Amino acid sequence: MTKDHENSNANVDVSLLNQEINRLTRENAKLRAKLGFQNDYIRAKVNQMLTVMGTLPLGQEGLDDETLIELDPIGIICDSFRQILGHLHHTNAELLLANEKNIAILDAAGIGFMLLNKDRTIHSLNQKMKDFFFSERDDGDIIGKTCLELICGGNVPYELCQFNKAIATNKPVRFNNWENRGRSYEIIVTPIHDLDGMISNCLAVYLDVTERMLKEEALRESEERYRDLFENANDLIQSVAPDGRFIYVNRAWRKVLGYSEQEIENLRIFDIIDPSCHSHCSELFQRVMEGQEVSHVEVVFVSKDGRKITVEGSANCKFINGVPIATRSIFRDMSWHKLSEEALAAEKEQLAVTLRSIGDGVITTDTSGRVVLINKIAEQLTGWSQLEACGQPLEEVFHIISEKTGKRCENLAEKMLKTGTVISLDTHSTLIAKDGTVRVIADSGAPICNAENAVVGTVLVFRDISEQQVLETNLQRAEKLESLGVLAGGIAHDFNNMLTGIIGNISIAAMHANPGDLIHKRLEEAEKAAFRARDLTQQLLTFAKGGAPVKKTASIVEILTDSAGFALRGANVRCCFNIASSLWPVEMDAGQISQVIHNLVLNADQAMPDGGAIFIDAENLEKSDSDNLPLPHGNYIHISIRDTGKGISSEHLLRIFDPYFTTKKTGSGLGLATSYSVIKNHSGCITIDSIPGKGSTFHIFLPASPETNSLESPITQLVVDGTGHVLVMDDEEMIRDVAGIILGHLGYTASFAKNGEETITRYQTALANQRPFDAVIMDLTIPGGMGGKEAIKKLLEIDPHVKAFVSSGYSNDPIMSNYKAFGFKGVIVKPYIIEEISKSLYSVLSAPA
Amino acid sequence: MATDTFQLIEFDICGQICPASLLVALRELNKYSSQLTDGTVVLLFKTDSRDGTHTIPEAASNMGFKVDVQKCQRYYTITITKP
Repeated sequence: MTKDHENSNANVDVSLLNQEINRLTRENAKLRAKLGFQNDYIRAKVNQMLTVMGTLPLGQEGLDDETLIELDPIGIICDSFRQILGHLHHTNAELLLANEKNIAILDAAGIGFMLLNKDRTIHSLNQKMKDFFFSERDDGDIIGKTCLELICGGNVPYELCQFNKAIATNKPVRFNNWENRGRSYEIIVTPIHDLDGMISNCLAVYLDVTERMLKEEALRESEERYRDLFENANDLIQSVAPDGRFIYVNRAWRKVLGYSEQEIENLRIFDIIDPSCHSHCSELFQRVMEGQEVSHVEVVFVSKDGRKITVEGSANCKFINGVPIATRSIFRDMSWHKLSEEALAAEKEQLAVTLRSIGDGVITTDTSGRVVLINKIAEQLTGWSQLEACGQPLEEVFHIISEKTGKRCENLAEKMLKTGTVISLDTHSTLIAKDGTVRVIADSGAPICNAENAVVGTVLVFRDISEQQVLETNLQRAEKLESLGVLAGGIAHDFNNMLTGIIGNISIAAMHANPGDLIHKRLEEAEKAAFRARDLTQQLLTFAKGGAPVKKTASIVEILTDSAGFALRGANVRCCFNIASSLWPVEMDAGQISQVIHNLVLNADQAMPDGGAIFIDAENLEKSDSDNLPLPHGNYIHISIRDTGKGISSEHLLRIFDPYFTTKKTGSGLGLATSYSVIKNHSGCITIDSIPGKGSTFHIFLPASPETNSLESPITQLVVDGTGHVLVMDDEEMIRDVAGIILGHLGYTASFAKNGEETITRYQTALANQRPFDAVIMDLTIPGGMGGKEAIKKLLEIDPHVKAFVSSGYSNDPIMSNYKAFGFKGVIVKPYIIEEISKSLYSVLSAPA
Repeated sequence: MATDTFQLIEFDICGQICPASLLVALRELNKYSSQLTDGTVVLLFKTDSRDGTHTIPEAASNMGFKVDVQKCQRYYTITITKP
């Protein structure tokens, strides 16, 4: 190819190329324009989506096209929309479910809900609302119709319609007691606003309050009743706040304390409490605030005018959620009660003093027979204190048994409560004290009746008659002895006179016989037999009333030792003496006391046939109240004679002092009777303790003599001769003869008189003839004539120095034991014994005038 | 059943402004959607874009996730957890 050609060809190619380039450039420009348009479209859509997402549009400078494509915002946003939509779907589903639930809840609720459109047409309503008002209608008959038409019947004034009010005020409206078709409703109408804040609907809520209204009415009535009750109560009722303010007080409270209702508002609880009670009440108030209930609280209130009022009551506190709200207290004005209590206390004190002062035991019981009261004496007798006895059954405290049967007596309280009558105990009842002490008691009981005559308990009055019974026993014994004594005394008197003749004559006959002769021996035997008869007569006389002792002050020591020794001669029993060294002397008839000791020792000896020991103790004793002896206070000699023999059964123990009672084959039954009588006549007493199989102890108590200087030894009989002229007065010739012989034997000359008159005459004559009698022996009693008692008076008138002896075998007359007071110088007891006559005459006639 | 253990994935998108920061956040939300929903993943975005503190939480909330925004000294943290 040529150059030109070549040039020409080259030019063509360039041209084509340029054309192609231009075409391509144009095409590129088109494509670029198209791409730019597409990118702009994408960017616009992305921006649209971003706007939907709520963010800023894309900026050219922030994100170039390539990055934009690479980022894939559309994909991202689409995915995000998918998620958002998914979430919305889920949310919608939940909302629908929630809506269903809400409808179910609303239907199930006891409240009627109704949604109204603004024009008052019904939009929707729940089941309860249908039940309230539309039970006969279908939804089609309800929805779209106005409530005015369906519920209110179209005749409600505009201003009373709650719907209208809610629309007008744009606020919820409440109507508390709307009555419709016999029921009461509480209505709340609430406006519902659209997004523009305009009222679109109204929600009407209906609550059937019929039951509540009825309950509230009932509650009001109940409150009224309670208020009436509180306000008209006589007790003081108050309610106090924790800070002490009064929340409520009733009318009685205001009346008693004198405050008005207005004044109460400014009062505090401690304003009306007496300062003396502040400390105590502060503590109580604190306890009440802590939830404790206090009762029987006694407080002193102070009224407005300053009066102090004692009240008693109880208090507790009302709590809400554990917080104290108000106290509840009721008090009673105890002022009058206080006075009554004081009066009652005084009366009780008086009654208690009276009961204490009563010498008898008193026990009262309630209607169940349980002990209510027991006085001091009853405490002593039963051994139960008031504290122990109170509430115990009567039969437990007042344990009595029949003395005869030993069995428990019937329940007295039960009997009285049953019969309602006064009862007396069996006289042979024995009370057994708590410590086992046994006492014989006398008792009576009566039911206690109240003002309505209803039995409210029993009262039992009793006393210990153990001592009285002993005294009665003694009295009975004494009466028995007295009656026997009269008989015995009468017999003994005559018998004594006879013995005087017998013994006297035997004595005289014996004097005339030779001691070795058979006749002398027989006379001695006869004399011994006569002496035994005399002893028997003496015993009869001693226990007889007339056996008054002829007392002289003497020591009893020798009598004890001599008499015991004499009684135990030849026995296989020994005697153990324990005699106080300074034993007081005793004013006694030594012969009689000797006889007592002799009897008792002899008894003791006989109680121990196999031998043993007799313990004789003597001591001084100052008698006090604690001794259970029937003796007055004073000094005594206590003699005890104890054997270890077979003892005496309780059956026999009561009778051993009875005359002619004996358990021995050879006993006369007079030994202990005589001993009893002797000791009694000495103003003493004799008792016995005996345990069968263990032995017996006799106790003798004799009054100690205040004299200590005139102790006389027991009489020792000696025949003492004398001289002198003796006048013997006796109505019995035999006595006179014997007396004459004895006196003659003793060296005296004797003259005789049959009675007092003759004695006086003879004494006067002898005195007138200057040959007076040196002594006169006068029988105390002369049947049918003047006895010694009267004759001595006359003789003393004639001769104040007359030496007269009173003579009797029957010493029932006080003259025999108290002869000096009647003017006699001595006593000569029948039957006459030479030694006794000689001693008596000698002692008197030899004494200085 | 929810688990107490989860994976915390952090994204530092400081320097990015909306809408870029939102798109990045949305991309990650989309990516971890299921893990977020079952609680195995928690996403934490650090951003200094104030707009992002509104747009990202709003978008996440619309997706039903729970969002917590805290301000730190130089950035905000947006924590997105399961609903």
